[in-house]
Amino acid sequence: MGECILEVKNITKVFPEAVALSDVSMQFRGGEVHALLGENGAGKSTLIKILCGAYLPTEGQIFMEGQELPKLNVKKAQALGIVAIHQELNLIPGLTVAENVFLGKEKIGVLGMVDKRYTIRKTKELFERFKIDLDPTAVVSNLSVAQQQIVEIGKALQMESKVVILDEPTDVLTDKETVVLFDIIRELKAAGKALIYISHRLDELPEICDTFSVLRDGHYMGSGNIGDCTKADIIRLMIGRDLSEQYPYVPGKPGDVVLNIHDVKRKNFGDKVQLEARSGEVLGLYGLVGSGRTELMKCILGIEKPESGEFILNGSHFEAKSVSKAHKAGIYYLTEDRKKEGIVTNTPVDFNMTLPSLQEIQNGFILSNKKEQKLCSSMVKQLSVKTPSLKYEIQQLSGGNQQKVLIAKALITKPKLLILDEPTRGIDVGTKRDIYQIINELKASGVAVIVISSELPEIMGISDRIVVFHDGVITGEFAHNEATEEAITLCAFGTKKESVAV
Amino acid sequence: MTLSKRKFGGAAMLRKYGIILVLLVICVAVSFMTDSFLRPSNLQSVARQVSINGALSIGVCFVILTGGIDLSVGSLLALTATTSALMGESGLHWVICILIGIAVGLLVGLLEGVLVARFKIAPFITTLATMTICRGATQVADGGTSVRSPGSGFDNFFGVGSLGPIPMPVLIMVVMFVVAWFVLEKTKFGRHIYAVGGNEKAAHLSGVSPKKVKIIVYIISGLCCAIAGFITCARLSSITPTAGEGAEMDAIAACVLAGVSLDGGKGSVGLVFVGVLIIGVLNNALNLLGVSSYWQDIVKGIVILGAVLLESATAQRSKE
Repeated sequence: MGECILEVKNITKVFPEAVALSDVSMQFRGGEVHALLGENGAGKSTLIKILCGAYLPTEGQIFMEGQELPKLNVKKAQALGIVAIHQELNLIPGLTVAENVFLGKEKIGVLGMVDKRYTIRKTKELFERFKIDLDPTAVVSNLSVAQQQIVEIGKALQMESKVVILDEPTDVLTDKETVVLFDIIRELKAAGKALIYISHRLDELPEICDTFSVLRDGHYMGSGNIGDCTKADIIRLMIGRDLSEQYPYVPGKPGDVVLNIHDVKRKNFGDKVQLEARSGEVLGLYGLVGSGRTELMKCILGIEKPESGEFILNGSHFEAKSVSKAHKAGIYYLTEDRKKEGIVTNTPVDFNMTLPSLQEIQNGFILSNKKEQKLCSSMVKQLSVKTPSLKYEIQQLSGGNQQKVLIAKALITKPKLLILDEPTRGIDVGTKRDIYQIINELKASGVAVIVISSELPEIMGISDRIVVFHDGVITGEFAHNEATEEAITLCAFGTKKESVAV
Repeated sequence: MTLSKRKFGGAAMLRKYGIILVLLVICVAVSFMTDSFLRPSNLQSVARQVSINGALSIGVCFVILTGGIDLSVGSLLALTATTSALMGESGLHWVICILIGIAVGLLVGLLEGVLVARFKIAPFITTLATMTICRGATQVADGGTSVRSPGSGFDNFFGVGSLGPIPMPVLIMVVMFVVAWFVLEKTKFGRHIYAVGGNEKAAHLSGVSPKKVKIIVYIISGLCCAIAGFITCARLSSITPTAGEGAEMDAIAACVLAGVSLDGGKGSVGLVFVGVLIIGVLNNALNLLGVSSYWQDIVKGIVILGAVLLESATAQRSKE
């Protein structure tokens, strides 16, 4: 093993809403691939952003080859050779591979023109050194995602980087492309670089990684050599905590089937899905990000068209021609992406709350301010939303209160089936509990609730029934009492429930 | 940064209503600089002049609120008015001519709306294209010469007539502003416009159809163009092929002065009325002061920039 190149010591990062990292220390060595593991929201991306200089840690120190780096920023980090390759690639599609690799570092020749031949030659040399098989003169927009990722790596190599961070690089790759990527990673390793590798695919870790560290809820849980641990050991480190207090679970009384998702298959994705949502029951959908749960729900709303199958609502065929038709039929979907698809920024709380239900506050066809205020203030009271007034602009509320406003908005439509997509993402612990209580009350009043969550403890803590998705396929279904963290996690990683020893 | 300070701070008030102050300052300054500005006859002519831009600005405001832009209003003004005038020449009653002109405005609006909403062509490009098409169509229709208005009934209704002391075009514009304000503030459709402009995806998930809303705002803009066209035509009893050239810029400027965000979702049509008055008063004052028309454009541009800078400065401060 090589020298320790990058080290973080006692890093704490506090956001206004929550503590993202708490007293985390880690070492990353040269010539080593270090897997950074943890559930969604465990603090991995916050740590990466701190390493890249995008966030300043609230407390703690970062050392590069023994030197402390105070006030690290993105430019400094890049100059020092810390480069992150994110899932969203930062390439300019209209330029060639070589031009992208040397973007901002072009050699200027006669008359201020870019010396193209120089960049092409240099790129070729670079690629040969790391055994990358890619044409420097190819235009990036014509490349596959895998090849584009390799261009990103090429960019990192050109900068003579010492630390390369790969954020879920294989997520979008086919098996064959993954093999190519791993070969390149091995070359980088041989060149003495420190690699930090983030992936949800635990199966591929032994093949490519040497060591690992685990984060859970912003805390450092431990490190080790990949070879010394089993997958189950690692999963136990990633999850495992007392669920009982955070989740006020009350068993539901499942009634009639409200919605039957009958053999629905999406285009080019997954397989037929058979699923039932019952009144008075919380159905939890678990899976990794990208397992197709959200898209399936959007099929119910008619936003996406399924390739085959049908939806049966209260016993009869249902097809939503528009979202408002779905609302009228009693189906409401609350988005996972509060900022992009949830709140209407620059508009007040009441505007957001009544948007899907304006007919409720009309006198004839005139909107009644009085009716609106009455309706909204009763919702604010019911859900204990903390807002200075109903006319307060929604984006100025905390994330938790924004979410409560959006839940109020959903409840005003009086849904029979309420779909909550990541209902507690980015929300503090206290408000999370409030939201779980609201879900319990809805369940008790006979609403069918579907909760999508990528947080395992949450899904286990609030669901009467848990269905696990992997790549658009249901891999397991568990009753509340029968669910174990390990079994669910294995299903989420693609193992069928039948072959999981519960 | 306490909550109460943010909400009730003077900066926020200034940001929202500062434009009214700007109008007052300009009016006071102009009335000191010239004797004739405050004369009733002059004020009446200012009011008449602004009615055309006022009508256009309403349509443009609707479109901008959804996050779009409408560059075609000046050309569409000419096309609708010319069509009506030509119908009048062929002997149709002026009321029928109006209806046909309106139909042309609605149709072009519908076309623009469908291109933007259904075919996802950028509003700037769509309306840039319809702008040239409408101008060209106008010249094809009238052969490049002026056409007489559809008769004195028409002229009286849209131009020279008045109700008491209020000239008809002014009355029409005021009614339009009141209706626009009512629609935007008091109806479901108005809410939907703001929602689509503020966050299209959120609006969609809330059961709003962004496509429908976008198509309708372009149709509304088309209707406003037709009315502005009639007022233009009635004022001189004829319509020229170049009528309304550059009018889209004054309409957009009025919206920008009013703080209507070009990103959509933000702005008040009431303040657009003030924006229209500022541009009208400015035009009139520069004429009264004998400033050459070249210089007028420069001054107008500077005032717009100044007002917007002032607004962004106060916005910055209220953020801090």
